[in-house]
Amino acid sequence: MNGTSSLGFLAIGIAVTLESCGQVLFKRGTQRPGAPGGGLHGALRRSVGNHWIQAGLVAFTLEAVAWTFALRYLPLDVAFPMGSACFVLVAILSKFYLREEVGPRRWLGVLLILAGVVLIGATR
Amino acid sequence: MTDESQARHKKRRLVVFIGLALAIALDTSVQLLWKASVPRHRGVVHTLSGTFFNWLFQLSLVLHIWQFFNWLMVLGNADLSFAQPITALSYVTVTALSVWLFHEVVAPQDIVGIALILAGVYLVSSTPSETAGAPGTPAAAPVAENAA
Repeated sequence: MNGTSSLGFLAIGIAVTLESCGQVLFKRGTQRPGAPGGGLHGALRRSVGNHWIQAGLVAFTLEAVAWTFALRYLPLDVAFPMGSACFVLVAILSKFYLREEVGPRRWLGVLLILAGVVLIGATR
Repeated sequence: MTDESQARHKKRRLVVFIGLALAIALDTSVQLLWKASVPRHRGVVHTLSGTFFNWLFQLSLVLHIWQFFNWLMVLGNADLSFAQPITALSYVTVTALSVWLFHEVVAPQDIVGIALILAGVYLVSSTPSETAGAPGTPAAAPVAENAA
């Protein structure tokens, strides 16, 4: 591993953390009491003045910078599969922070997806 | 479950299905455009400025904004741990597009990887899309309104 690829892997680690936190913040933003579901209009209405979504946007903006550096130092076919660590981190945060029901079937699905993405990345 | 709540549940499932299909299409486009816009063999400042002023990156930004509102719509109707893994289908579309656009050769391992992703997405999609009684779901809404 050389210096530039180490920077690339560090950038991916930061991006994965920011991506997972951003997703959780967005989900919290859509959990406003009394305003469930809704279409695209509902999504627009919910996002105005919503601090959870604003915090999520900050996380995604910082992630964009980290991801740009990751792509600068690593090829997409290395960076993209490594980003799949998000699936596990999001499942953990969903279960323990958002209190979603993540049963054995959903966990198995997430792990199969992770294995598949890593396998695709390993052939490049 | 009453007819009305059943109809509402069906509508939410349809919104989630359409939103997820759109999310995968937008995510695939954003990834390919973003990668194409990052300049190679340049310094730190040029990497950022070269990317941000590239029209390919700007187009990916527009699609990203569209994806933002679409994704909030999906999250308003489904668990995060349900919706997010399903977007892994974009790995399948990116691989397929790489073969079609860039004539890349698909290794046997890629086929196994795609099969695993499809199996995983099938498993996740066969679980309930929403945790019953979670904040923001129709069942929880009256309680939340009373509390407010």
